Amino acid sequence: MDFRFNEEQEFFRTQVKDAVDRLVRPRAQEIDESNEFPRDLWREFAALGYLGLRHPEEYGGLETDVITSMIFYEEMARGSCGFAMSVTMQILMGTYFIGRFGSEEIKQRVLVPAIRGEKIGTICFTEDQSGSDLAGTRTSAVPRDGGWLLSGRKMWITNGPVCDFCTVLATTDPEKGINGLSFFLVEKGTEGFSTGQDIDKLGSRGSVTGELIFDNVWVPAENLLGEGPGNGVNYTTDILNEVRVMTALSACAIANEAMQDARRYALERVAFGKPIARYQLIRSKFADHWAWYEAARLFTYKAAWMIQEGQPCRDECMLAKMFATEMCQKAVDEASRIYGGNSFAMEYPQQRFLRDARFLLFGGGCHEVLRNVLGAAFLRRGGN
Amino acid sequence: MKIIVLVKQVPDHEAIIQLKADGLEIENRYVCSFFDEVAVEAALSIRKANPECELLALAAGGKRQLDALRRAVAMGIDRVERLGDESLDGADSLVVAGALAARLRAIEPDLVLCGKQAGDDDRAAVGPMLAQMLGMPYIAAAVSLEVDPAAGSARIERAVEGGSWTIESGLPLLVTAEKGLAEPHVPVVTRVMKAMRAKIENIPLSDLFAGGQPPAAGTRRLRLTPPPERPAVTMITSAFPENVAELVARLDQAGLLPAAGGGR
Repeated sequence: MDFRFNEEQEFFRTQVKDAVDRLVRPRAQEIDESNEFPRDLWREFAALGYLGLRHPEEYGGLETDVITSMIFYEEMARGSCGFAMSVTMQILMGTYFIGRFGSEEIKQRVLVPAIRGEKIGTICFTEDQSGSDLAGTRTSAVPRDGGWLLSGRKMWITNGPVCDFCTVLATTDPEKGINGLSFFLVEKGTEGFSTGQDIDKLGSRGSVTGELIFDNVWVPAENLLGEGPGNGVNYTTDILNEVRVMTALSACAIANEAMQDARRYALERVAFGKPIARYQLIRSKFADHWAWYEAARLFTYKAAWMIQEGQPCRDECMLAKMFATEMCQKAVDEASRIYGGNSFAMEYPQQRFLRDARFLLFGGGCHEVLRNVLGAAFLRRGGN
Repeated sequence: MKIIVLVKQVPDHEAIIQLKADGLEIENRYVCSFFDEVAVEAALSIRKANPECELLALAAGGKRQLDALRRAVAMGIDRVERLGDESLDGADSLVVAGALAARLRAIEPDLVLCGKQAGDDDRAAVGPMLAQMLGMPYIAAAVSLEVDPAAGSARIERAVEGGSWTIESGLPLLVTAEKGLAEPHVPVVTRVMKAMRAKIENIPLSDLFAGGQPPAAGTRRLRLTPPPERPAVTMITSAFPENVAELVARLDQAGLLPAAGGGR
């Protein structure tokens, strides 16, 4: 066994860290406070080329392996959760189906400018009555004039208010439930496609989020992404695995940021004549965090390795997402207790970590659903 | 025209460094020294104006130095070499300069650039020692550098108290970089990937000094002493004017007030 990153991956991390420290981290508080999509930072960051991390070189991508991409996501979340979520949406789900199923013409028109950051993409799963329950999708697509007519509303769409294109999950056969779902490309400017209300979020601010409306939107047949209608759910597992591991590493990054900040504070803050880091109850918080953080991060990278190796790992990715995100809730809670009253002041970052951590609970499946699925899986297979 | 840039890997400013009885304990977090990155950027600017320039970065030391060289490749340097081994990490400046001089004599560079000091020990010694060994003019802490390869000359500006000092020199020349000479850019990811995969040649000390002897250390470290620990802060929590009276009493108690009637 070998638990080390290789030399190249270690170097890659230092370079992403440098880019994040210089470009993103200094903007984190401002992005959070304004809750506005930072277009200037987006352009500056896109120019570095990271948006093509997982796509083929012929379209301007880098074709990195899974582990390398996960290192990138982890470092991004360390800088600004809000900006990281916009970037990861673009790299992962926002362009995944276009890269995998788009025609050459679609790839040139949509994917290539997306990799350059000139077009912003997103994916539309969630509706007002469905999220983790994909079978509840009500947005419909019916054949019309050699193409498809889409109708419905999507909610909680990251990058939605600023998107130039989106991949929409719609039902092409409501009677088949989850086996009647398909993905469609819809581009800005298409008649009937509009943005609805923006959502003023508690955390992960700056990754602008809102509603997208499809009012009898006609798209050509080639905009159906995937082989034939009804196969949508079969394609989601691969990308959801990566999304869940990305979310887990974002949770690790936020937990670590919060605790490193609390560590510096504990070493400096004096109470009753000595730094609070010398009190056992404060030390126990760091000890507990360290154990949970190491366990979560190690297991998450194991899940990433399983994806890279092509092993079946749906359950492991769900476990990593659930475990790391719960670890993060605990970490930001304890870090804020170490910080005391200052954790409640907007001028310090602890309040942002608390809010950002909550955001990670829901993406990639809420834990109540994941627990149900994982519990059933354990009963069936008995764990590893 | 051959431009050589010297780079060194130093502890990250966030790395935890502790003084121990047997030396320094440094957390394994290193980055390329900031002033060396400025030197790399300056070399890239010269090449932009003079596309025929060849750029080579050198680092002396063990495998830790590989990432400083990779950083140079990521920023845009063409070729890199690592000289020697771990024995040069933290070694006496004369020893490090000797290893670099041995390689540079073979290369015969037109311009050598490096940071004005390393980000760890701040010794600012290798640059001037190297210039002395190579018999080159040496200009420290440049904030501006223009090179005319055809004329074989360079114009350098240094920041001095209340103004600037402009100097002209012939080539070859060694210049150390001050903040302001150039602004190191964030490398694009395609260069980062190239740097990740770069095969970096190592020239062992035995090859550098074939048929000769490396210079012996000129200095030796006697001890490292941590600064005295700061006593705990005492907060005076009473309200005005009691807090003033308490402060005066405490200062008096500590013998920090002049004797009564003494004045200044």
